[in-house]
Amino acid sequence: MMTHVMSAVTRIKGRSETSDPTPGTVDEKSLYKKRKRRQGLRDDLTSFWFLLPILAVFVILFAVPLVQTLIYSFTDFNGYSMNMHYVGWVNYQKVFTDSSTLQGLIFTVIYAVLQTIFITVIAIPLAVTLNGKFFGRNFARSMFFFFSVPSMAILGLVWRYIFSPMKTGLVNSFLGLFGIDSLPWLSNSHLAQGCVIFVAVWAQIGWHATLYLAFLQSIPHDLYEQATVDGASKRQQFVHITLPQLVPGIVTSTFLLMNGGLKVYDLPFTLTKGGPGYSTYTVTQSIIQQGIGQSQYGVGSALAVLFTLATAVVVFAQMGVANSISRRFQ
Amino acid sequence: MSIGKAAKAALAIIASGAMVASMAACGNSDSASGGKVTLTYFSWNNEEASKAYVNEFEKENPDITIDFGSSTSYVQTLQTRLVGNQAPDVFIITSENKADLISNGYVKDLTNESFMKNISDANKEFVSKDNKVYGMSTSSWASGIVYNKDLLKKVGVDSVPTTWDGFLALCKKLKAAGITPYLEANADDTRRIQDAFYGGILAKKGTDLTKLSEAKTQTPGTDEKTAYKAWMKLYDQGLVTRDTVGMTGDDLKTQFTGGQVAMITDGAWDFSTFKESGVNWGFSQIPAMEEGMEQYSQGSPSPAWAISSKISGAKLKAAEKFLTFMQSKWSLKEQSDGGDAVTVKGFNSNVVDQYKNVYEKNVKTGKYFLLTNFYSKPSVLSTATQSETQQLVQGSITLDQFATNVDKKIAEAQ
Repeated sequence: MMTHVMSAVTRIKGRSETSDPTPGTVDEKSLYKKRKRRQGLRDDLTSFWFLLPILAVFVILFAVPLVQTLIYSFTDFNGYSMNMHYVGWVNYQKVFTDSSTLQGLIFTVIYAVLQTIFITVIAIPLAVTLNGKFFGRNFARSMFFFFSVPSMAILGLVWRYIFSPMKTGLVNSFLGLFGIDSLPWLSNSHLAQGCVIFVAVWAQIGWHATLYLAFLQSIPHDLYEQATVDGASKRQQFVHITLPQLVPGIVTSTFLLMNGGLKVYDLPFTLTKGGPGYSTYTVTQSIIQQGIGQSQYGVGSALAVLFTLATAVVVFAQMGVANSISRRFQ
Repeated sequence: MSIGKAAKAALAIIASGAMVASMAACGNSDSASGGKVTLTYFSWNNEEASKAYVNEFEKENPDITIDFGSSTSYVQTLQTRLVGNQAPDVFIITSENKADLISNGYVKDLTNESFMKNISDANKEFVSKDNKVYGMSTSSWASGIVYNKDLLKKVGVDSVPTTWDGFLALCKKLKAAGITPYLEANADDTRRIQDAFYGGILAKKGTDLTKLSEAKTQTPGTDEKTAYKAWMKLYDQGLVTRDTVGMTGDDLKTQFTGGQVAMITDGAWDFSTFKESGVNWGFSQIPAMEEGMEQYSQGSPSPAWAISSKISGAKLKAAEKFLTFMQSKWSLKEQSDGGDAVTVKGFNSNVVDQYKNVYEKNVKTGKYFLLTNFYSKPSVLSTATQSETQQLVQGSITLDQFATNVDKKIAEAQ
């Protein structure tokens, strides 16, 4: 047994001596470089095989449709005939002159920004509270998390009954108990916008609080102990320890919220169908409606291309700002 | 080549072979085999609703097998199949796709087929272009006013007036008695009254409906303006709450079955709900816009069966047999029993008592109108009118702006 081990060691040693010489002369140096390059290529190839499945999925499900969308955006493709014609920038012009799309864009941006702000502002204190010790803590954590389990489409349908503008609507019935007149929750444009944002915030707070909770639990406890010894108040501890330590979590959470908010479709569609008028209409709804529902693939594709670019700009800008903040706190 | 590599290569060849074989089998799935013809039928209705027809047809035609398919997103799935050269032999043509199916040559001209002889004119008109008929529609639907007899009795009225002025007067009376007179679902179901009024206007003018979709400059908003102006009196006179912009069809049903509103607009598809509710209800024609005008209804022929223009020979014969079967007495009775208001000449549907008046006066006579059936780009029109109607009811736009916006949307989509 020992002999086998020794001979294996010798073999490895011998191989390393011949295959990996210490670079000395010019010839040896170039040989060394060549071998290193070959080794690198072999490693790259191994990585490539591991990456191939996900690369294939990316190309088939993302890159190909993206290129197709770009092509369709310059054509009059109607979804019924492959005999399409090049129409130049006409579809892009239509996007910029269509008032409903522009209204959809405004609400989408308002929705994405407000839900990001509200959820971040509420989820962090909630996570801090859930991180403390109190009776029923696990139940409270589960309860907040479970808000985010049902799909947004189902929540939209449920909240539609709750916010019904009729006297029999749940919220209006409750207000009626105190003699307060019914409010036009979903039939007034501004209230409807508020309802959509409220439900989005309500549904996602728990999930993001759980995310922050995970980050909170990784903060070293001795930081708080030292701060307590130094006489720092709870507020000071929150501002000077908790918040800076949570920056990576804030970056992740806000990135997900902005990205998801800009692509929102299901909640406004089921809660208000984009109405009243176009007050809760979103860009994604416009893309789906014009592209698929109305067989205007050219216009829908142009809108999708522009929206992809706009989303990329917003998300990269957000990442840039978040990274600079992260560096400040490192 | 090492054994491992050889084994992998062999496996790859076998797998590819299996894939090619299965794809080839797919390609042959709708061809004739052993003297039997397989007909692909892609339906708007699900398997449960279509099973009886398919089974009976196969029983009567043992040499034909139906390969049935359906989808909840029917229009999009059919569109994908057509573009991908996977057209079904028989499929459904409906208001959302008829213009595209006809103009792209996907459907066969059925004008002179023997099975079209008894189809009513209004149903033929629905799927016609340039005097050619491309589908066989055997039934129609018409909406109307569902009313609570007991609530109307409280103000001494036992039926819905036949004119719009009479209807507005009744609403005033009900409101004065503390009863919510009327509600409509402007969140998802706009234009019931307006379409009925517009149908009446077009009938008075003697307009050829099949020409509307061919007009170079389409102005559905401007065309319907008079109808909208009359309808808006409901809101201008404060008879109905503007909160209807947030109300859905389901909300209306809940209000009506709870006895909280005297009248709503609805149709035969919800009759079972009203029956079960225990409310003493009736169903009336939509009032005429003006004295001297006919009482039209918002309604439409039901989706029609169409035959693919790509098939021929035994398959075409089988498809024609299938359409002949779908308007046979057995089939029409089955449709009628299932709640459809059949409009085929020589056949009477056994409709519920409340529906009889509207069935006789609107459905069977073709006195119904659905704006989106007669303009190109029905989906664009439907979405645009819904959003603009909501803004009109809210008071955020004027009637002129409504008309301009709807016309602009249609012009952009053309």
